[in-house]
Amino acid sequence: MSQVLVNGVFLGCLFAVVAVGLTLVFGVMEVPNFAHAGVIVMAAYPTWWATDAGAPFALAALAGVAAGGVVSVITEVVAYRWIIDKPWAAPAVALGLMLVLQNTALNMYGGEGRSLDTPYDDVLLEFAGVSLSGVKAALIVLAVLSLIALHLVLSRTSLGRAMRAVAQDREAAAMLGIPMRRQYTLAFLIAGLLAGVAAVAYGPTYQVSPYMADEVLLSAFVVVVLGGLGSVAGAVAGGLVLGVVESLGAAYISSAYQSAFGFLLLVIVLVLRPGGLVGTNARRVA
Amino acid sequence: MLTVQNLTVAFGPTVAVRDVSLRAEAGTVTGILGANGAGKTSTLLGILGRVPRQSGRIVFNGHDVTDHGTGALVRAGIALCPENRRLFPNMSIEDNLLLGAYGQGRKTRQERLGRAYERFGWLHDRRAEAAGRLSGGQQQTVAIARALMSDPQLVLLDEPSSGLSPVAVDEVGETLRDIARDGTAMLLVEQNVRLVEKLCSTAYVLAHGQVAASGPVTELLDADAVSDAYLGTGA
Repeated sequence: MSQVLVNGVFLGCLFAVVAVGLTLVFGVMEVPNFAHAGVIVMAAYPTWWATDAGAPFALAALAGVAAGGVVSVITEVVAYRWIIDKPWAAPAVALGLMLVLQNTALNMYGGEGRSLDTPYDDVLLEFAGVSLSGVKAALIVLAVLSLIALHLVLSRTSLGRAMRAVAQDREAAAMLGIPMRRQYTLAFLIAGLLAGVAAVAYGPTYQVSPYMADEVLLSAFVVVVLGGLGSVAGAVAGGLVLGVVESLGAAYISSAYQSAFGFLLLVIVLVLRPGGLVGTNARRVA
Repeated sequence: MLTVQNLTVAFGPTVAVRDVSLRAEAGTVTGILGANGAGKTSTLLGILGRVPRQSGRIVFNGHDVTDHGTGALVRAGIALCPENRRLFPNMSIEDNLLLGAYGQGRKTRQERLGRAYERFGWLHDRRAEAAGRLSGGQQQTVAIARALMSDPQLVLLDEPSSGLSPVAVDEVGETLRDIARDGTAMLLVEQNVRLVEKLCSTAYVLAHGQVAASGPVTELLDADAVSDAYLGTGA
């Protein structure tokens, strides 16, 4: 049971990091950012490329996280910024961007999966009968540190405060002289950096490929709705709950239906709490 | 202080404000009156650049600020206290106030926060409380305090008495009078004639997006034709 819960926490941390990026962008711009999967891919390949070229993993990881931020900001500047007043166009643009990013990766690196080697590949942590690979432990640590850093940015800084305000009432924030474009770019930058963290943490467990993030994106969208649209706290809680539920379902019922347990949970939560686990129907980033 | 010349605001083919000209002076409260849909709110939002201006000129403190965006206008010294307060309900009172000083350095923000707490003592005691939990009157006080956080020379007020009890309206009136006494100019959109009478020296009456009458408030309210047609105060 303990082992299953630890696996659930690992999955939950991964879901949370991806979902927080999605919910942040949704909260600020109301965009369902499917392209987030493409950003994860575009962050994972530079990391793989750098380690393959012999760079230290820490440096390669930093390059991957930075690439995530840069690619994400580029999607905002070249596409989303132009459709801010056309919310009906956002899903199509987001899907289009995802395809562009994935196909760019496909053209550049080919379709086969690449292994991302880390210095902690052979590490195995064991405690009270529970074992955890070094790669999974690193993901949990990275996820927790990233989410703490995000919490501090949102709650303690002027920019974070402005971002929360924009998510709650965009026009009221604009009336105070808060520059909207800067907030949009910042939301995409943070989401991209988190996508980079997800790529660096996720790549070693699975393989780096153009479609590596499709499944996790789907789960992350479940998490976003589960936690309450636009709620960062909800995304973290939703991620952990989904991770644990999927792990328990896979361990005690059938691993063939692992993702189905998540969707079943989503239906139950939406029936009982339409606003999500933590969120309300109002958009917010907090 | 503020001179608006021939301001026209249009939403596509619909003209909400047509050729409106008005002035606001330091230390005075200037009223903008009129029935629902007369163009009062659009005039304020047009001055602050929040709605599409089709034409017109806005001069503030001797500078032409017509082409300034909202952020530049706020930095120049114009603040808006919007209709229905528009606080951020899930955020604390203190966070709401600090947003009013967005773009200022930490030291300046803290200094202005201190001034707000000095003026409205109870805000300090409840600073960590979510703004959405406050009563309408208390929320209006937060909205006014937030507008003052940008250290404005001109405050645009959109129906500050809306939805408030008579006691709360009186309190808001006193607060606004104090602020005007400190030298701040105010442009007040209001349907509560009693509040306008109490605060404003001069006023503009809007009808169908145009200035229908202007002058000293006492004269405007005494003119039956104006009262009947635009303010609904006639018998």
